[in-house]
Amino acid sequence: MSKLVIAGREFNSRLFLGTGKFSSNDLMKDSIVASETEMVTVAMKRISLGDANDDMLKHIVDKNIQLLPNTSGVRDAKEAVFAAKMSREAFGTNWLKLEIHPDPRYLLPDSIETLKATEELVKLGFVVLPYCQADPVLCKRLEEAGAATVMPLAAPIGSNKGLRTEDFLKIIIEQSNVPVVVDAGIGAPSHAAAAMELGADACLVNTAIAVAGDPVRMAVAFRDAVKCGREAYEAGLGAVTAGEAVASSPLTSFLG
Amino acid sequence: MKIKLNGEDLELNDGAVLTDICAKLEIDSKGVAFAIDCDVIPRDEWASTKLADGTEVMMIRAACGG
Repeated sequence: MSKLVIAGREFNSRLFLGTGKFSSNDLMKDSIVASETEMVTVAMKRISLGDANDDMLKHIVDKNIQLLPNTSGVRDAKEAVFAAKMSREAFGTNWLKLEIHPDPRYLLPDSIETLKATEELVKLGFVVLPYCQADPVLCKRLEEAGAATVMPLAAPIGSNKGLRTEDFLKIIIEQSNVPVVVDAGIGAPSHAAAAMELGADACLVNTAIAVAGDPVRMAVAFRDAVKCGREAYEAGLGAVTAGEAVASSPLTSFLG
Repeated sequence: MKIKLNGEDLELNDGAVLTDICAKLEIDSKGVAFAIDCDVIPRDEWASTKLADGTEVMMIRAACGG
């Protein structure tokens, strides 16, 4: 499997992990280790005087892991830029998962604000990985604005529905000059493998691992699925016929 | 003196600076950021950013999220 390169940084793993929804920090920590991921998303919250001991960062122990702070909770480009500046001070990285989804019911990204924020954040020196609609035209615009990747959704966040946007993901992958990370909606390892077979450069998975019966074993399953899918893509999948069979064995030279 | 930290009262010694908030709350400054009046305060200015009675400080920290 070839290495993934984003903004000049090499990654051995093509599975990115979200840290939300785990039932404990220990399970999150063990799942991160089992997944072999090298990119982990983190969020930010306002501190309240009662939760001073809740330090999740100490559970991300591998120093090689790239933290990817997100802007979850912002409603427009202006708030996203503020959140990005806060995250840069908090985490000491200029990498950013830009997500602007003002509607709490479907959590769908606001394309106009996302493009606006990408343009501004790139100028401010951020490495911007925008969560976006599976819209090929938008993805080209984000790329032109300087996004380090595009991260189109497979289905709504946390829905586990799989590659509902498959036809558009194919166009995005075909056209993109930056890595394509399929983000949101991946609910099973088979979905991740399918995305990788299409030629996606990476998958970002959270809910499907965090709420699994055994998150650590599910992390292993996703680790292997992403590897398998990528390996198959790089090996070159066979052509799909119109429907007729094509013999794999010689039919004529056995019984004469 | 009393500042407003995310809308809650926090008692600090007179002349306190931003880093004193971490000390008071016993929080590791890693994963923390501050803003005053919507201005993000760079980490290397925390120790010299003096607070006054009633200063409204926004403080965030790392949280789990996807």
